[in-house]
Amino acid sequence: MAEFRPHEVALAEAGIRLVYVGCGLPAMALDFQQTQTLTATVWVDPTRQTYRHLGFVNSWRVLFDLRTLANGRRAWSKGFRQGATQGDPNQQGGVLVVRAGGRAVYGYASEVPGDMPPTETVLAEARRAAV
Amino acid sequence: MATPDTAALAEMIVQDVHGQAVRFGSAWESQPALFLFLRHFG
Repeated sequence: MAEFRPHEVALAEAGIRLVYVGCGLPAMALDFQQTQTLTATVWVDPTRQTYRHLGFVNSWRVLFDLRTLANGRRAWSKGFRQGATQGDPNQQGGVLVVRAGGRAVYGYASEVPGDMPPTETVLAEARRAAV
Repeated sequence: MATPDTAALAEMIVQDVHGQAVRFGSAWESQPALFLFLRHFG
């Protein structure tokens, strides 16, 4: 998700609220916000109710998926270094774009670690939601 | 991913970095919102 940090200001200027959601504790979120120097909102969902509602994957099987290894190698080659895991290692994330008023217009559920839609695709969907 | 029911999602309570309760739907009350759900912090 570090790919979105450079776009935080542009999103805010476009009137789009960027929210990072994690499944840890508030202290973890605060540490994440500070160490990643984020200006966007960070929320925590300790019970993962939103993750379940959106159908995000939670399975130990993803850790043995060959795509997990491939995505890890790709991230490593780009210089990304994951710190100690704070939360559920089996929990996968995703993306959701919602128009003002509450209509969801784009969603993506990651199947394995490192599985994310192209950043430009997500940004384009967010910009479309603001029109 | 199927189009989610945002009415139910909107009423869910999460927390900010200081532990204050936040209604999820408050993010899109007056502006579009982009949510990035993390695997984990760290």
